[in-house]
Amino acid sequence: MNGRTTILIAGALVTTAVALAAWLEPRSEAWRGRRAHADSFLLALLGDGRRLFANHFFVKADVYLHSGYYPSIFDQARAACEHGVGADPAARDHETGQGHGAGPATPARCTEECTHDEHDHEAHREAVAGGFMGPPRDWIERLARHFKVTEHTHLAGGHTEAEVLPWLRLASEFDPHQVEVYTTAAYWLADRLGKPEQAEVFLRRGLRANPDSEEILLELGRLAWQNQRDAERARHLWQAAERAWRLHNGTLNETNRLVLGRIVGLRAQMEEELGNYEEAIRYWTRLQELSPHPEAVAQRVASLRERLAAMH
Amino acid sequence: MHGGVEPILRTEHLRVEYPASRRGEPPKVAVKDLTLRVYPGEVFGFLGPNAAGKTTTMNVLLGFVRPTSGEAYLFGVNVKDPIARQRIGYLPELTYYYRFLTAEEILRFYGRLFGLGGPELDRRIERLLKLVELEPARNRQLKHYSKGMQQRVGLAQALINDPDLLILDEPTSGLDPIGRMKVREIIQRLKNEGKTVFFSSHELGEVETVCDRVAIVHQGELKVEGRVDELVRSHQANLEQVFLRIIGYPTSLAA
Amino acid sequence: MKTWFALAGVVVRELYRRKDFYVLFVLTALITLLLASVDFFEDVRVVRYLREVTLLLIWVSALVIAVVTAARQIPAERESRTIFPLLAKPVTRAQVVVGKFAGVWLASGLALALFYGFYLLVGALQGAPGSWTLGLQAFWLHWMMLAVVVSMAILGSLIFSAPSVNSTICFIVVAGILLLAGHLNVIAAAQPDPWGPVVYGLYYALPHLELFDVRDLLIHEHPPVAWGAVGVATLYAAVYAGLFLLGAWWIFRKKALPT
Repeated sequence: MNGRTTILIAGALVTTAVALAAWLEPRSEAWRGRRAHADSFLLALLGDGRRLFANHFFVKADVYLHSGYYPSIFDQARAACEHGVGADPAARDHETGQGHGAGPATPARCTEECTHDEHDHEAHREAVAGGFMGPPRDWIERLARHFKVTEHTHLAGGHTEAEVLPWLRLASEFDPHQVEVYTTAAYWLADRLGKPEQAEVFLRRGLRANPDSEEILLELGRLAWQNQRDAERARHLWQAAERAWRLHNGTLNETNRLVLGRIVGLRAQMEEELGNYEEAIRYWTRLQELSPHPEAVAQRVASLRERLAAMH
Repeated sequence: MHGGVEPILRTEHLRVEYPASRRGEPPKVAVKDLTLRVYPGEVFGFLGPNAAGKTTTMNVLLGFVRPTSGEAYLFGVNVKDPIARQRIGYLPELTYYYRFLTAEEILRFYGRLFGLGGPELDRRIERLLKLVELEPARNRQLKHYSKGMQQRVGLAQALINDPDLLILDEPTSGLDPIGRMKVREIIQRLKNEGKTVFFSSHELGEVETVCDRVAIVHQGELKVEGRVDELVRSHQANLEQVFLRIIGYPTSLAA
Repeated sequence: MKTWFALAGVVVRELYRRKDFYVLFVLTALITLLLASVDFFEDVRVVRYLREVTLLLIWVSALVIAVVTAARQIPAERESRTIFPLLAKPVTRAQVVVGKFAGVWLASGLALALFYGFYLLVGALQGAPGSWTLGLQAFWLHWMMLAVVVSMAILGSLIFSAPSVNSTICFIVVAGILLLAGHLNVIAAAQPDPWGPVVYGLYYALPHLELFDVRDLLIHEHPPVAWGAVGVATLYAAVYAGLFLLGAWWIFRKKALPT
């Protein structure tokens, strides 16, 4: 076979391959599904499997917050058996330590609702023998404790909290639709690291991927008020958040109550600080129906009514 | 015994069987009841056609294979004991050495296995590289060597411990006439130094030239053992014709 | 002593004349330097994630080097027939096993030292070197772990026919042990009879390689490990390595050579 024949055969094969590809491509969308229309490399590569990575990186951020002290899936399974499904051994550890209350001890929990004292584990270290680990069951486990992180601490001070950020950023790359990633990162950036601008940029990125996310709109409103003192903008954002909430939630239930409660609560607080007591009373009254502590809210409403009466 | 001298290499009713390749078949007998003696200072040729049992016998002597029955001794020490190999040098038919090492490194490595080191080892390496004419290529890795060069490295490593017994398996296989001549010269020199050489070869012309005694094996059995000159005289033929007659090949065709 | 040392020397030479180690080191260095240049939220003081990625790369690379090199040793000698001129010397098969182990372990240690040196250098350049004592302990414990893995691979090389099969099985076993072995006692407690005792038996029999993994301590800047615990872990590794090598010798002494 001479050179010319080789080139002709190669050319014919390439032409055939291109023609086949052009014929197959539209027909392949039927079996490739969403990945056929993927506009991101990760979505095309991993499909829905990328969510597993995103979840892993989000948990990783929590691991970093706890400086490596974190229950494995076996510890979590054991806690579920001992304390019921949904129990989190780290949360139990937090309760016995200094307490965040029930629920997963994730960075998402570390919002403005948690006071600085609840996080100040450096000052109050200790308490449970082994924490979620419990006492060692045998000599191997006893030896292994020397090589593991066994102390429950939180990253605090000296900008060490920034160490969680790469994992949150990675989580957002792998799953742009995981809203909690954006709100968590925004909390750490704005409240703990003094970077509200970066927080806003990241939240807006999240909003582009999740246009009607009430949580992201809520956080943007919080930033607008707490960092920029821009009340008008905050109102607009919280109104948009409430509209988004109503769009996604038909009726009120135990799960979705918290977000609406935060929207209403923040609005009430802002109006009170601005001296708009009538508006503040209106929103505090709404919060009474949503809050798990209606008596405290009622007291606040009463106190505001007195102040309003005193003004007139 | 040979004039009261103890043999340097001795096998006693050596038998080596290999398991059958198929179930129900009898085991394959590679060596049958081989009793052999090699005495100090002689050049001994171990001859036989392919699959006669020569390599198997050598493998037993070198400890690679355990005999099914019988014993083998080197310097009076059973071959099962590694110390039996302290004073031997071995050149395999097919030369395989570490391709990523240089000639000098290979000699140094094998020398250390004999417990050699320091200036003595350096001196021996120099002498051997000169002997096998590999000085210019001493720092080149073996993967860049020709077959002849690798064969020469093999010969050098076989001599690194200044052995009293040299076991050579087809030492001139694959060598050009000059290479073969050099090997014959080395064998002769070793003999002049009082060393013992035990080798197998198909080059009967060479065997007739250098060997003092030969043994011919066929189908695992020792057919004849004796001095070359006596065999040639008694059969009134050259060694090749003696060989063919012993193994039962029609000599009229061989003439 | 000279014999197994000479054997070990050949293995070390082989490793640094092959390309595998350099490829892995360059890959690790490139990925680390690339990640170090990434800017997260304009904060340059983020170092722990880089430590984690670098240490993960070091662990993977060291494991690949150790397992692949160890799995190859004796089968390559048999296949290339270099075993014959070797065993024709006054060398016992036990010395061959010990020499090969020592060579692979030393070579892995040298590679590991370079990797950890790079890790500490990157940390120092970032202004966050961490504890040098803990760094040294991490290197030492990792090297001890590799002793167990190398001896396991050498035993495997005498059981499995092909180095690739042996390597694959070793990787799976090591990964399985690192992920699960520490939790087998919890799993055992939840199993019905007779599986509970079986899993418990496995828990005690397996070498707990996760003991030697102090990456979390290193990444999150915890205090160094108590030296007594390091000593016990070293002894633990020595016992398992010895057991695997004993098994390897037991098999090798009976193994026919390809004549």
